[in-house]
Amino acid sequence: MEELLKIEDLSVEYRSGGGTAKAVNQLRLTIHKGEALGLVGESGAGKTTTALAVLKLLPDHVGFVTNGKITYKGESLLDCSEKQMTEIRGKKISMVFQNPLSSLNPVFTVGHQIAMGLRRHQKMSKKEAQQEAGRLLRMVGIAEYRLNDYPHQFSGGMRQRVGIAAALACKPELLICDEPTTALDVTIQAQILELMKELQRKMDTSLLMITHNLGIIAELCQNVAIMYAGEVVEYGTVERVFSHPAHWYTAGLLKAIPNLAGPRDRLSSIGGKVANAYELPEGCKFHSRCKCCSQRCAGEQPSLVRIEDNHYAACWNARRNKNE
Amino acid sequence: MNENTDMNEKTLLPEEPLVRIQNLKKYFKIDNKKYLHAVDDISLDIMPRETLGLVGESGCGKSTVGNLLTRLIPETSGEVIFDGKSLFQLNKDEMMKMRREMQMIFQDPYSSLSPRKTIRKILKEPLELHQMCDKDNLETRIIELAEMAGLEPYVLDKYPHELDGGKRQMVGIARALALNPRFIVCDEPVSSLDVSVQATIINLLMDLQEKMGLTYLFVSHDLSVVRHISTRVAVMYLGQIVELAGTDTLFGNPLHPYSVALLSAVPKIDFGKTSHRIVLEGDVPSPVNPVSGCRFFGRCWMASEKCKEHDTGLREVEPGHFTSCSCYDEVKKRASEKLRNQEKEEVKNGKESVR
Repeated sequence: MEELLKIEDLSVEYRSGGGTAKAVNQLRLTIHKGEALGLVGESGAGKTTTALAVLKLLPDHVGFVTNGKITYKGESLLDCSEKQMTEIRGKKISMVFQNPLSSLNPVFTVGHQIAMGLRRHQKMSKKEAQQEAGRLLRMVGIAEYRLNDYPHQFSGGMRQRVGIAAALACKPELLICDEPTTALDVTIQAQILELMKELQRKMDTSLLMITHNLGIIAELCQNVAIMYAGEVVEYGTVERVFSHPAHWYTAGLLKAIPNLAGPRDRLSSIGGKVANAYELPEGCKFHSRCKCCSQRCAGEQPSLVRIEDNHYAACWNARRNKNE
Repeated sequence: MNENTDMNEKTLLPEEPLVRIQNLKKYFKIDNKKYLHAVDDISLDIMPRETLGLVGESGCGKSTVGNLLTRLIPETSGEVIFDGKSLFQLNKDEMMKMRREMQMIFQDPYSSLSPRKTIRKILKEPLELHQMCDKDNLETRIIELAEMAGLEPYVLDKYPHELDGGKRQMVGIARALALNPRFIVCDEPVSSLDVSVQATIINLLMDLQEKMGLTYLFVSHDLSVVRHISTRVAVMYLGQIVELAGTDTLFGNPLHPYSVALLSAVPKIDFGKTSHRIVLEGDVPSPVNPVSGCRFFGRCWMASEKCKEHDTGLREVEPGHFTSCSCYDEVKKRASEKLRNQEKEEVKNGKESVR
């Protein structure tokens, strides 16, 4: 499969008066054409920062890429000028943001906002763009006559669908979704998930799905990367990672979630606190919370190693055997 | 502290409910003609030592029920009987005493703790206010409370902003326990927390229930959390309870089309099976001056003409299993039919599953 987006050794820092937060550390990820990749982690793991770095949307004067390479179809995104980035954002790589209320502009109609990308990238006339915007709205299940309504006239679920319609307007090759359904109710979430499945089937869009909901990953994605303290600690096919997690963090995460089926056992929680990005621990970032921590873990940082085909984990004591 | 509660007691549930809700209504006035029917005629018993889960989408009125039970907002009509006493008849002093028995844990541990008080002061306040503790024992009691909620004593000198979400929620729990209540309304206590912290809080709530014989009303939109913690579950839609049953019954054999859709909407980690689901069209309709007849009619995937006018109300169709659907006996059959048809259609259209 063709490599679409390749992130190599990416490090991102947030600098402020209070110190330097290392949000993303030496991150490596590859997304292929047509692939849906899930990015999982708790808050503060660096998921959103990674997405923002790809689109060069990190906050000015605060967020800095300190190391690494991001290549999109062989083209280095970090070397692109702002003008070149404008040609990429929305056209080749689009993003759906977490909060549908704050990601739409309240003073423009939704039709205008969807058409904006079309007019800029596809050089459509105003009329053509409006027509196309209407078609996109219909595609996400909103009646066309609502083109001239403003964001506040829509419910949360509909706003998110408007966000998705705008992101898909120019048929991007890669869609980055940052927790697109976290603010929504389950029945609306189900509508959006079905829509995304359909998009994948019909348009062969690649997807980077950022979420902490493992169920969504299981339904939508083929591969999954688990993030902890700005690093990918485990990567593999969804089925493999979820059924035989190799990293102790992944295993803990899976056990901490209550289930809709099966026995209602006591939940096992992961003790301790998420590593502080201002003072990252030595060695494996997870070692102070790990059940299976050895001497080596505290001093030496593990890198991603192959457990088997399409399954990698960064752990000195990886769970190679499922009976462990 | 009632720590040596007999385990046997738990299995012998007394017949009398601890909280009895009768025809409770709460309408919010919008203008002269418009009323928002937040809670519309619900009746419900909560048994001692059980956890009653209350689920539904946002805006269905589940939090309003919690607020009404603790009398944080005035009711429109109806009655709540707590331990034999009618709650809405009590005067201010009597209610003050009653509040010792019923406490609340809030959703947002950021806004429900005063930013200007240390944790010690936050925990001290209810004890002093209700004169639950003499001055000499105050400090011992505060430390005891913190310990019960899994907090280390050093936390007591901190301010809320110095703690993370999980710790803050533990403070909220410790504060709710301060007065030795029997009944606690938990309003989405874990929905703002990360999964690993969420597990800690759920375990804590369940341990405390066993240790102190607490009764919970657990309000949440997260079905898997509710399934994990509840004894019985009530499903709410547009201000009404549409189904009520024991947890395993409700999740295994739902008898209302809304419950079925809600359950099928949750994304599952389930390999080998192609997942099909019943997707509800549209959004929850507005609760302002709702239509007569079945409230779910507009979004129901098995609605017939008779549902439009006819509202059967909640009734017991199997022992302990209540539903408000008039075609409840067809739900199971129709649901599997619908899923089968979806599958067929997909095969016909030559679509391949994502996985």
